[in-house]
Amino acid sequence: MPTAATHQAGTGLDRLSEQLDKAGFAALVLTSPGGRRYALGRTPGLADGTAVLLTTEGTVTSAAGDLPTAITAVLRAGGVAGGVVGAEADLPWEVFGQVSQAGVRLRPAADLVFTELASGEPGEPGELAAVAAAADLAAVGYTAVMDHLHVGMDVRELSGNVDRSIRRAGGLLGWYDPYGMTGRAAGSDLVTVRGHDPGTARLTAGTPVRFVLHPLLEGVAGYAAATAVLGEPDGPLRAAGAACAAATASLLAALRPGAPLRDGREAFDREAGEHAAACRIVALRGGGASLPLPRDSEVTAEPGMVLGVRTEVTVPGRGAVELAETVVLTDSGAEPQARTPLRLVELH
Amino acid sequence: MDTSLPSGAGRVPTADAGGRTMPLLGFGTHPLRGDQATEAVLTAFSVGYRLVDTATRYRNEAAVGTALATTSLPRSELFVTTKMPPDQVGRERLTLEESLAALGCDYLDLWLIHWPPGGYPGVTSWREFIRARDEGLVRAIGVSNYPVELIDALHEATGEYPAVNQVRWGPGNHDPEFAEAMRRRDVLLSAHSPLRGTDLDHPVLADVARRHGRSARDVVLAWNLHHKVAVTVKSAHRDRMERNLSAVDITLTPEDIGAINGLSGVAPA
Repeated sequence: MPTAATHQAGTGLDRLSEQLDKAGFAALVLTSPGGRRYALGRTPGLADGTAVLLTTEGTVTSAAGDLPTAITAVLRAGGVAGGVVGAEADLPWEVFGQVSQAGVRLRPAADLVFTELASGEPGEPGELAAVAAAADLAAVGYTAVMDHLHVGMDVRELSGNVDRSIRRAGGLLGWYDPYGMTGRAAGSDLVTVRGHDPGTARLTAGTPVRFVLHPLLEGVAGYAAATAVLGEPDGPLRAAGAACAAATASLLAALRPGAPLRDGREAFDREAGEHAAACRIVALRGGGASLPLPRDSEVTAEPGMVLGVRTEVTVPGRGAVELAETVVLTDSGAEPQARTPLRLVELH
Repeated sequence: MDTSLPSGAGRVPTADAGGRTMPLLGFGTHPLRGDQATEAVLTAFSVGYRLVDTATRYRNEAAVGTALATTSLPRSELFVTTKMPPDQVGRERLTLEESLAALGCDYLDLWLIHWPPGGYPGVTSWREFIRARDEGLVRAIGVSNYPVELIDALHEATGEYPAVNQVRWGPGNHDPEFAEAMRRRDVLLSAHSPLRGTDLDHPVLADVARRHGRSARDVVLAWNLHHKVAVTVKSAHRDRMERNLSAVDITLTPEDIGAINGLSGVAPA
């Protein structure tokens, strides 16, 4: 049985506790990296765990270990012996079985968590500036990649270029924590690169090079992705690039205050048409990306929300065109922060 | 001449850049943004700089444009350089129009391809650059961070060499063969990051600086000017701007030049 640690939640989680109460939950189980970081980030001294429990009384409990036993442990340590507990994600049946035996019912609370992680705390004027700065740092990384791409380049050089540039720009090199398991992990600000020959790690012409950047700046993660082709794209690649650009633009245009966020997903799907395409919208406050917005989400777009938008159109047999951007919702709609090109970049 | 101008102002040497007279010492604006960039450019103008160097990538063209609109200096006395990033292949005219609008200019004095797109010469873009120059939207066109072979490829494809090639250049990466290759092609060599890659504490620089009563930094700028290399320097501080500009008053001896040339870490071909 994992050991659980319980602390009183800071004032930063007051609003979330109130929302739990309003929704009829006795507590909330957070299992995503973004959700855990959001809760634990306000309770210094606690290591990230597999499960975090926030109660309406304002206590935060965390436990590491395998998911079912960790959840059971935080429920017990958090004093939740019965009632309804919100869960932010679809959980495996083992969890439901184990938790049911304890007399607790789990109900989905994905929208509640997403809204919290997208909206952040009122009265934190510096947070949007921090988001913009982190997105700007992602743009620095983008430049470090895009300016140096060439056929035959070893992709490991790209990581070095990105890390050097981001460090010079004030980024925190090498503390990327994709899964929130250990609190901190050595890594690169350049999270993934695709489009190279796997046998040689070298870039090739004709295959789209796509890369994702999540640099950290003062606890805020930048969020951007871009795709380039080293040469003039052929018909299928050009078509995929155009489709991804148009569908991404439609998604962003649909993120209007007062409208459901799922409108963005639906606009993307309509514009992508017959292409093999996918998109996700994540909440970015709290130090990392949340779980993607569920398809049936009822979350409404509100000014001040900080979202990550990631889109992809597959090129049959050739990978994909992939784009991502950090956006802040304002009264007039979605404002891109990294401002990297939301289109297939041609380099020739 | 304004007698209140500091040492060096008004005596900045110039060179021909594609038929346009280009000051060899200019004010670089990266990574300044917003009001800080506007104020820095205005201060640089008041100190005596007449060349301002920006780029689409720097995201400060509008701030530089505010300074251009605010200064009492006539546009004809100023030299405005900006650069198109390599990810704008196929969107050259749009990029130029956005730069002109942000800067509030009818024309640019110099427009550069910021990096070789994908490591290629960028012939598609270069043709558009030539068209923009021929239509009077830019006075001179050039490149940045280009090796000799890519410059030759542009010439081979279009019959036109760039007027300027802006590269990282300083005593630490001084390459006489590259400089000579640029000179033979009538390409003006321009230095960005002139101090990066050079050990400013090196005894050779320290000795030259001591004998001239200046800093190693000043000596590096003077060394570039001696070689007729255009150099952009950046600082948001007036006193540093003045000191950089005063490097035009330093006359290095042939022995000084030879010693500084010897600091290069570039191996002869």
